[in-house]
Amino acid sequence: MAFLSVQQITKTFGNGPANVPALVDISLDVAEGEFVVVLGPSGCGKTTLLQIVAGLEQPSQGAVRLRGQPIRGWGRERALVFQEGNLFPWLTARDNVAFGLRVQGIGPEERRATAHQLLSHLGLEGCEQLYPHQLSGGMRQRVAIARALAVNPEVLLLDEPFASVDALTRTRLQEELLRIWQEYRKTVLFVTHNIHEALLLADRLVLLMPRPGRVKACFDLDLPRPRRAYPAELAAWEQRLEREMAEAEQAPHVSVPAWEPQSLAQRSPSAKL
Amino acid sequence: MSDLGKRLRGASLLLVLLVLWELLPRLNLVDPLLLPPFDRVAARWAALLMSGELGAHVVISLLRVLAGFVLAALTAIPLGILLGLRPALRERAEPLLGMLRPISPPAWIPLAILWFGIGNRPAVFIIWMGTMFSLLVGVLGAARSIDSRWVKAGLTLGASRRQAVRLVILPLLLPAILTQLRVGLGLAWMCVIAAEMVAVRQGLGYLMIQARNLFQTDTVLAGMVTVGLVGWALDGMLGIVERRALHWREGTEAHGFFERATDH
Repeated sequence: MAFLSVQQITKTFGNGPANVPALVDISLDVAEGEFVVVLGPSGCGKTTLLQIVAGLEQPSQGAVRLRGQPIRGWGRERALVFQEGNLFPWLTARDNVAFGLRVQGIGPEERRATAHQLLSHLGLEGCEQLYPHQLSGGMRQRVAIARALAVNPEVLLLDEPFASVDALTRTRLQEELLRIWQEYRKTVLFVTHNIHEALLLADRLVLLMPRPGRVKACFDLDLPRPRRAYPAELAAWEQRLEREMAEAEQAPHVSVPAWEPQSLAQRSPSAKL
Repeated sequence: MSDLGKRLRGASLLLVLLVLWELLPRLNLVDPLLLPPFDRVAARWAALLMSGELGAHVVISLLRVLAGFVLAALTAIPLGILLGLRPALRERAEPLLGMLRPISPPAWIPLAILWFGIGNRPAVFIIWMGTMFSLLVGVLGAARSIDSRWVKAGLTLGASRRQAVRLVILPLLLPAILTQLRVGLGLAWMCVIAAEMVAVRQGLGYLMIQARNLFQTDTVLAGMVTVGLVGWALDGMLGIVERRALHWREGTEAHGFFERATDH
């Protein structure tokens, strides 16, 4: 039994003939402690998939299971780090990190200690009292990761967390995330459209194709880390994935007009679209 | 330096107006009975102040404003948030709000007197009515256009719905609420003067309407100057509160009271 299991998820926005299928029959198993990257061009529904795993969106069909239990709504065992700007702007870095502890009724002393420890762990010593607008983009994302870690989640969900920081900061954040992942042994589901980023991070890579979002292929990346030490292999992977991505982007639009839920249920679980 | 410059500019315009105010009646370009020169109004104002009469009227008016304004805030803010967050309720309430809101505060005066007689209660009622709808619509609008990113962040971090309202939605709405409160306090101050022109025996509005009956134009103008000064001070006080509470925002700039008030 997989630790985190996405089972034949289909998501349609809108009803009736005007409905738009965003995801069709997505299945995905994540082992405990695994780093899975969902890679895909824009419009492939990868953010929607992550929102469904986070419990913020309901799938039209299918289920998400954690340790075999179907998830119901959101929960702090599945912490979500958004692309940008979702730190609470009215709270200091420290209070942002401590938010998840505060709602659990944990006292101010313990909150402060945990927040301090996490922030210094992420290289943000001395930034406790700063507000988000006083932090750089990279620092904000560090705070966001610390905030997610503070509630000690089982799964860390990251939605293009480094998309809006500069290249240098991005590299450093990726390394930092790997270090955190290895240290805290978290299960990570990471969404990105950046092939290079996916290759640097992933144990396993799930490539989605758009209109509607479907799984095109899965890849196991058995390259040791740090991956930068294997430029030749990385380059080969990169070429391969670029080809796959280009194919994915040009994939014919599968039209599913006035799509009826039953039509999919009749299909066998592993049916290729 | 630029702050001082700004103040000087503001003062200079005032000075020009005061000089005109002084000269026009003195040169008989305007009937001094209708517009007494500034120095007479100032002297009258000082006399009213020294006798304690003005202070007593101001205090009475302020207490009424405080009562009506607090009532309005206590009703409008929770209701606005509730309607903003619940589309089903909002759809039911919107026609009613749309119809009640255009009724200007003085239009409530006859009903207020019928219902509450004379004294403080009709005045407080008028202030409440006159302030509440503006506040309610403002808060509702802010609550319905709230950015769900932060709410989602709060929920995924384990906040209950109640906690999300208290710890995420309220802080998110605070800038809009404070702006609305500032507008509302201005409205309340306007309402009290209108309300006091009928059915009361104290307050700034009463002072002015009484002076008009006795054709004491200088007292009317002294009252108006006081209304302006107190309104300005009230807005300034809320402006300070606003800046303190919203220090986490970049470039929070206080806008002029009269610019805003005329928008509503």
